[in-house]
Amino acid sequence: MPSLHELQRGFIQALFAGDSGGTDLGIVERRIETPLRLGIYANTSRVNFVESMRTSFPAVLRLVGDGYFRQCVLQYREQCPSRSGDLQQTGIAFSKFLALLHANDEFRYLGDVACLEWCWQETLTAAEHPSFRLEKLAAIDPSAYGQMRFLLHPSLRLFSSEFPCRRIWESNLTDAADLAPINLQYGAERLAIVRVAGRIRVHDLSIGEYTFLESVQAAETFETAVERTLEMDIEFDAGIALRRFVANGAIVDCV
Amino acid sequence: MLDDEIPIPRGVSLLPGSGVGLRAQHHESVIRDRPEIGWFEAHTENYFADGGAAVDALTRIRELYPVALHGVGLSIGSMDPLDIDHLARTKRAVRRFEPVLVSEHMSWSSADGLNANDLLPLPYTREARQHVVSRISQVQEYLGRQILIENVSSYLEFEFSEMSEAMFLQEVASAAGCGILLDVNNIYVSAQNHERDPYAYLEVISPPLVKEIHLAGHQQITVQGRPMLIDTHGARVAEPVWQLYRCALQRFGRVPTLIEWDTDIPALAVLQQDATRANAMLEDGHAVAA
Repeated sequence: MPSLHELQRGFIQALFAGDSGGTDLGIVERRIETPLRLGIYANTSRVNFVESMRTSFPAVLRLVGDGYFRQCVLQYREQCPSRSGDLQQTGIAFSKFLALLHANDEFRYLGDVACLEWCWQETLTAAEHPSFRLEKLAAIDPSAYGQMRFLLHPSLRLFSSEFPCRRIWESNLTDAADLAPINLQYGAERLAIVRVAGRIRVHDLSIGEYTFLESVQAAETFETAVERTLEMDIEFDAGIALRRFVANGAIVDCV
Repeated sequence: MLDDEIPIPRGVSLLPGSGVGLRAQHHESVIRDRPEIGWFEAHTENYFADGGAAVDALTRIRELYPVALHGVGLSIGSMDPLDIDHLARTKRAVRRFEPVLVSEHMSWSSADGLNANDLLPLPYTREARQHVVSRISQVQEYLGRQILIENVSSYLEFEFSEMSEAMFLQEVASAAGCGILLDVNNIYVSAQNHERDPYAYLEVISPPLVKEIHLAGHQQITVQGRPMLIDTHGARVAEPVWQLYRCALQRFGRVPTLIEWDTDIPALAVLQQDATRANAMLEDGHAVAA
C-alpha cells in the first residue's frame, strides 16, 4: 500500500500525464476500468482550467474561436499548470505564451490583446482608494515638490503595444457578427486602465504621459520622473499631466 | 475540545431554513429584488480580490442576508504544505464578510505543487484520517473559528481504504472538533457509483455534528455500458435525492440547507423553487419533531 504522499503524487501524475509513474493507485475497478474512472477527474480538471481562461480572455476567445482557444489553453496548461487553489490566477502568463506562439505570424498581436485583457482583470479586482485630497498638495511647500513621490491608484495598469489592441479588444467584446476590419498598421497604443468609483476607464496616453506614469509607478521622485519624461517628449507639460491624472483618478496621493 | 476553545460565531443556529448558492449572475437581482431566500452561500475564492464589483456586491448582500463562505481550493487532504497565502485570503474574506458558517471539502487537489483544481477523493485510511484531522485543526487555529467539512462525490474508491467514507467523516469531525456539511446529493451520487446504500451512510453520522446540508443536481452518463452519476451542479435536485434528504432531516433535525447550482446557471427563481421545497420539508420535519 503506498503512503498518502505516494498515492497523491501518482494520482496527480495520472491526471496530468496519463500515467501514475509506477505507483499502484489501488483503484477498485468494479466493472469500470481505472483509466476511465481517472479520466472523469482528468476531464473535470481540464474543463475547470479552460473555463477559467474563457472567463479571463473573452476577446482572445472570440478572435481565435472556441476550438483553437481550447487547443491553445491546453498547450499553455502543459507549460504553466495550475499551482494554486484559486483558478483566477491561472491566466497570468497566457499573454507571454501567446506572444511566443505567434511571434512570427499574422496573429502576433494576440499576446498583446491577452495582456490587455489581463490588465483589465487586475484592474477589476484591485483595492479601492479614495481620490486625491488637493488640500494635501496645497499644504506642501512648492520648493519640496521636486522630491515628492506621487502614488497611483492601486487598480491602475499601464499597457503599451505596437498594435491597435484597444480597438481589437473592444470590437471583440460585442456579439456583433459583422466586425469592421482593423488595420494592424493603425499604430502603437499606450493606455492607462483604472477603476474609479466602481467604473473602469481606459485612457489613451501620449508617449510623455506614459513615461511619466511609468516613472511614478517606479516610485521615482517628481523631479526625476519629469526629467526622464522630457527625454522622451520635449513638449511634455508636467502641470497639465498632473491635473489630468488627478482629475481622472490615476494619481491618488503624494508623499 | 476545540469546540470549547474556538467560539462559533453568532447566529450559527439561526440560519433561517434554506439558502441558495450565490453566483455572480445573481448579484444584481439579489440586491435589487431582495428575494425571499433565507441566506446565501458564496464560494470563498470568488471573493479573494482586494476590491471590485464582486466584493462590493457581497458586501451589500451581507447587509441584507446572512452569508456562509464555502471554500473549494484549500486542498485540506493534500500532503503538500498548506497554502498559507490561500488560507490568509480565506481569513481576510472571513473578517470582511463575517459569515455565519465557513466550510471546506474533505478532499485534496494538489501534489508536488501541481493543482488539479478538482475535489479529488481520499483513501479512507488511518494515515489519511490523522492527516486530515491535523490539517483541519491547523485551519481552525488559523481562522480562529470552527469550520465545517463536506463529503464530496466520488467516481472511484481505493482498495486499501480501511473504513467507510461515512466513518472517516464522522471520525475526522469528532477528532478535529469541526462540524459536518453533509452534501446529500454527494452521498447519493457516490453511493450509486459504488453500489452502496446511501441511507446507511446517514446512520453513521452523529446528528449534533451536522451543521449544514447541501442539495444539488447531478447528471447520469454511461461509461463502459454502466451508468455513472456526475456531480455537475447543473440541474434540479433529483427526486431520489429529495427522498434521501427527507430521511436526513428525520435523523439530523432542522439543519440549514443550501441549494447549489454552478454550471448552466438558471434564473434565481429556479433555484428559489428548490429552496422553497427544501424549506417546506424543513418545516414538515420541524412539525413532526415538535
